[in-house]
Amino acid sequence: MSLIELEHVSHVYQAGQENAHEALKDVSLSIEEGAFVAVLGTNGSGKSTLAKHLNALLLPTSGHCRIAGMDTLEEDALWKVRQQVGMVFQNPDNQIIAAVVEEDVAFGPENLGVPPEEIRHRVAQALRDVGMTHYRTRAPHLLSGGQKQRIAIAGALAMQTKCLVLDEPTAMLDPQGRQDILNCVRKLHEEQGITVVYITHFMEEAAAADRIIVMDKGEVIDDGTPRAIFAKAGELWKLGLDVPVAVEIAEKLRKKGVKLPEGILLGEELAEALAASIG
Amino acid sequence: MLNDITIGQYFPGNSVLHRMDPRTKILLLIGFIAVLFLCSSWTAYAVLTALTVVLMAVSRVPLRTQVRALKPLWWIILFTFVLHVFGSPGEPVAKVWIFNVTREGIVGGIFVCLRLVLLILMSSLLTFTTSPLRLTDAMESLLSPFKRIGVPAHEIAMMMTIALRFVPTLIEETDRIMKAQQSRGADFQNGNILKRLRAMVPVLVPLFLSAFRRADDLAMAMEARCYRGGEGHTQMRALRYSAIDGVAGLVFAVLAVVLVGWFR
Amino acid sequence: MAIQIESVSFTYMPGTPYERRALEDVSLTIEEGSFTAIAGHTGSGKSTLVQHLNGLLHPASGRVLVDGVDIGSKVKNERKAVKKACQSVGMVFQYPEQQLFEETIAADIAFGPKNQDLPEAEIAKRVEEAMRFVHIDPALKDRSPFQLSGGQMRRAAIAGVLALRPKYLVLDEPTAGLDPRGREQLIQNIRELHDKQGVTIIFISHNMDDIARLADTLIIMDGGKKVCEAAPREAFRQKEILRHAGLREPETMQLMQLIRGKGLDVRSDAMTTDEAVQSILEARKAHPKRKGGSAHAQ
Repeated sequence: MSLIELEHVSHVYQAGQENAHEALKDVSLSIEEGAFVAVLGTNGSGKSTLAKHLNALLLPTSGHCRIAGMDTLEEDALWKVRQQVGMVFQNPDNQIIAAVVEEDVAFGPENLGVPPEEIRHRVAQALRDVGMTHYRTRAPHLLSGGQKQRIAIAGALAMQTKCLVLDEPTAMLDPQGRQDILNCVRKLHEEQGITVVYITHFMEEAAAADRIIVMDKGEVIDDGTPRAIFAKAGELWKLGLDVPVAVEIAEKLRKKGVKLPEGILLGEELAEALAASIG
Repeated sequence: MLNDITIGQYFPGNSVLHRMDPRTKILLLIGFIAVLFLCSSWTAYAVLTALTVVLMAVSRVPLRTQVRALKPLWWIILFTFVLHVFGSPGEPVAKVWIFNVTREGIVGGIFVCLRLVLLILMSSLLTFTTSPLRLTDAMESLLSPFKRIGVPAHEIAMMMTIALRFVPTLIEETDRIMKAQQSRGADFQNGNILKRLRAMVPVLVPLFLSAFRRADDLAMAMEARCYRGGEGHTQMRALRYSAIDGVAGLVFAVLAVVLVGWFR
Repeated sequence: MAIQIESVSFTYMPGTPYERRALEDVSLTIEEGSFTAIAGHTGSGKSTLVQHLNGLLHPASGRVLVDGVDIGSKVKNERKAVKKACQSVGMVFQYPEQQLFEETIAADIAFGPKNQDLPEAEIAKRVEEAMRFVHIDPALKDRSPFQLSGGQMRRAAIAGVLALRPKYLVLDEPTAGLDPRGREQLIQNIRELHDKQGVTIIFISHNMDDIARLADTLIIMDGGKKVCEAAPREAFRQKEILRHAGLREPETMQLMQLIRGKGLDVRSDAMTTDEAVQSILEARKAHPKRKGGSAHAQ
């Protein structure tokens, strides 16, 4: 059984009203436990709406969304679902609730009614996992954007979440902060086997995933490995998306008649291929 | 200029005041204020002032920061003083234009101002040494007996936490929006009151819109972290009275009885 | 004509526990007609620096001259000149869409010109022109700005600054948070503004690839100090400085260095993908061991 299963999920905002807007159209997909999935799409392609379905912040207008076998439409399952799927949002300022770092991390387990002793243990562990132990007693508004996002990740970890859903977590960060977040998420994925759903506009970040889902106008229009997805550079450009630099240069070289193998994704691979083509 | 506001900020630390149970601190603050208003003798005020100074030192919060808490209320204090000095009947000591300055007025003014200053210093000491979330927990715990008569203790407490958490963020935001509109030629300094109020519209509208957006985001983030009101909720550091609280309570009780009983 | 910054230092909240030195003895000149990029990590002082350019902040020491006028001048009869100098510098803050407040797009864009007491007809003309410039159909002028898409909202807010016809335009991370398409459209707008309208651009950005293709000068800020001022290509060679400032050379440059490492003699300082492709093709042609014709699909 997959950790996340969407079956013909549609979502309509302001259903029944004049300005009704169908943000998700008949989306079906499943995500296995331990996967690292990136979601690409322009603004308004429905990726945030999709993300919010994964921990029952939004419920399908039609269809079913199952998390670890629990249907998000079942009210009894709600807290269990939210405990299993942690969310990190775009704006680091708008998701920190407490005025001290460790108290913010404790917010989730406190809501779940975890005993105090256990909460302290989890908070310490979560802060260690994201490398923020040193900032335990600081005031969040004095931290950098990247640090705030790591606190948000720790907040989810402290709920012992199985899956992290990150909705453009790096959009408002500087390059250093962006790198830190990606490294942190990767480490959690590799060392603790946390399932990751990572929404981003940065193609270099998407290339780090083992699967990419491409969305457009509320539909999943492509789904595959980064290599397979970025091989269709032309289609991505048409959608208003980008490709990693190595892919772009390889594509342009091919147009100039240079023979290069398909599926070049990383800089290293392009360099190898060019060296090989010369002999 | 907006960054000068220090009220409601928390300074993490490990002083006796930091370690005291927040409920004790709130109750003692209420007690202190009561004594402050009951007493009007020099002795009582000397003792209360001394107590305040000692606690300010014990808290280890930078003195300058503590004093700055008075800054936004400075004008009110001054105004109250002037009102007293000129407005009290009694033995005249000087005359300014048609107003008499009376001995009673000066004494009364000093008392009222001292009262205000001590009140502000002590209240800010509470917020400086208590993290907002703990303060909230304490409020909730103190209000819980009133839940039966329909007081939403948890909700009030949560509202306070969030308000305190977002004060610095909103100050920063106000500063940025004001600068942006100033760059487009908005003028906040000149003109009569009506004109100045009108000049605030381009700041207030974006500020409110942003506050609503933040509220929306925050509600989402809280829900995502399983927030469901006070029900079935635990605390990382459950509130527990300790020896410090007992000692503090006892010392204050003795002090209060002596002051109110003999040195009023 | 130029903006001259002369040994400017600035401290936030001096004399308080929160005291923070934000700028230390920064000097630089921004020539009219140039395209200057400023980079550095969060808290490096770049935003503080640009807020000095139109008098939003005043230096604790040093001075700022805009077209020869000291904008910190307190002399009474220079007040008019100072105001004019400050007005010639337009300022687009981060996430400028958050400063929209009027009921219609046109009214919002007109806010600045109205504050300058321009005649109605002139204001209307400028609003239309600004809308056209940022590629928002002037027919939408009576719509609410809050109905626009994210990228459009940002361009509408920028139009509100453009309507002031600034000679110098400061943009603080103008593309942050936009999707690739929105980013590209905005970059094109900024490029046109510089190339066609001759507006001097001062552009804060984290995106080295954008800086590489747009700017003629790159200023790197680190810990409140200016640590580098050079043409981007030149600046990107200073690896130590970049790394210390929390920056990296453009992706393309990193890639070219990898390719060089594999023995192909490409330019390691190619900054854009087109330059890279060009250089790779040339290097292949020049390569002695190349198997004749096998690389060409014919």
